[in-house]
Amino acid sequence: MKEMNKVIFFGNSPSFKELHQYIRKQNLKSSLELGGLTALENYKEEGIDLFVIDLALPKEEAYLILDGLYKDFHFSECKVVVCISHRSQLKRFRSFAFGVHDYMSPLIEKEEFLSKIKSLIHPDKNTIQMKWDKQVTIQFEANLTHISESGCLMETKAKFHEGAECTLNCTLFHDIGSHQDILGSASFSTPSPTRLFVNQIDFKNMGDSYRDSLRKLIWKWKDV
Amino acid sequence: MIALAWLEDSESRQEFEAYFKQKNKNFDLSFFDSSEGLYLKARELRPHCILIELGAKNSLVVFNLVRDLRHLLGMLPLIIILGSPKDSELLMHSVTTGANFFLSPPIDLMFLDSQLTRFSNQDGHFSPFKFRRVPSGGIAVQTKTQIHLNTLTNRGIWFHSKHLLAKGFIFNFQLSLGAPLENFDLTMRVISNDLSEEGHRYFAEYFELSEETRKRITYLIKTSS
Repeated sequence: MKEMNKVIFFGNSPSFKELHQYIRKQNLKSSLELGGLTALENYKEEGIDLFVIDLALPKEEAYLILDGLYKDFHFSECKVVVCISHRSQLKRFRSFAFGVHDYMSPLIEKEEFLSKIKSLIHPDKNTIQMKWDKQVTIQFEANLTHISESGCLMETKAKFHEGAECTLNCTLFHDIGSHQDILGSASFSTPSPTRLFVNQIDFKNMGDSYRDSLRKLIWKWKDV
Repeated sequence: MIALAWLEDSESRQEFEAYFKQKNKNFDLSFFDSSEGLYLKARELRPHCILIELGAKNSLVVFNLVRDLRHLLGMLPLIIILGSPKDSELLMHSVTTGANFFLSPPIDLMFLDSQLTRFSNQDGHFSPFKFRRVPSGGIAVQTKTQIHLNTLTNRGIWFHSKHLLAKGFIFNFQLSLGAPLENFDLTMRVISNDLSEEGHRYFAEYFELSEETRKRITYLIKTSS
């Protein structure tokens, strides 16, 4: 007979406890821990399928549990979903860094929660996929902060690979009469204190007349 | 130049000590046993290079230290994280919190050499003589680049990219699917990143996708495969 799946809950808020109660009734073996990194010790020897952790635990305890989970369970053997009590992107990203597989709101519908748990425990059952082996173009917005006639610096959440090509389009290029995308090549990238990357992009296909216009425009800024 | 290091492994210590003494004599290397010690010294000395080993440390402490150092010292210091390849996800995250790059044993000293040499010339890259600040502080620029899409699912896409994309990175792309082709303008958000033999591997979920479009994509995936 197949062993029942085991889910461990770490949290103590009322809505979180309700979710645990619901899961217990769904033929899923589960335990509720009110917090404490030491409680993690009890599960080291057990085959755990899923941890559900409430990030609202006090004193960053949730992150310590996540860190402990990473070290003791290596996350390859179990899945982790975190419960985020408000719309905090930062908390979400921070928890993703610990290898968390998914997140949810404590106000999630119980049926949706059950479906999420099942899809995490048996991902292949609920995920439909197909091989799609091709190059595609993606588009995103960056912040151009510095410019010269030969290149620019732009901030974004992507650290560009050295030598990688990209195309740029912004109002500044329209101002100098260029209405086509400017082809660029990444030549340097470094992290900034604002958790973004500063990427240096060298212009590759900017004609001499546009370059000249850009130079004049930049010199005007000097006078401002 | 000044280099500070927080390394647990005595072999790593010896290796870097020998490296900086013999090869990169310009650097004066000091070791620390705690994040607090390193941070205080960094505030005092404004080092040019900082080495931190992930090892068995609390990764949260390392991430916070990297973030604080970057905030304190700005863009110029070279922050390098050392760790085992099995911690690839944490190593990648260290870069998104402010480290320049990470190294795994065996340390590629030639690569380190090239980065340190490059770092020495970094001032030239960001020189105000080379670039002029945009008056308004910044202009939105639409950027396009290529990724290699591997797998399409009803939850999102798996893809490879040469670029390092932080978790939470949002991008758009157009998916043409089915026969006759239907075009979907999709917004995606990166939720996992890892290293593979082919480079950085990512999963991005559909972001703010209407239920109707999700159902249509799911149907087309089902019928296409």
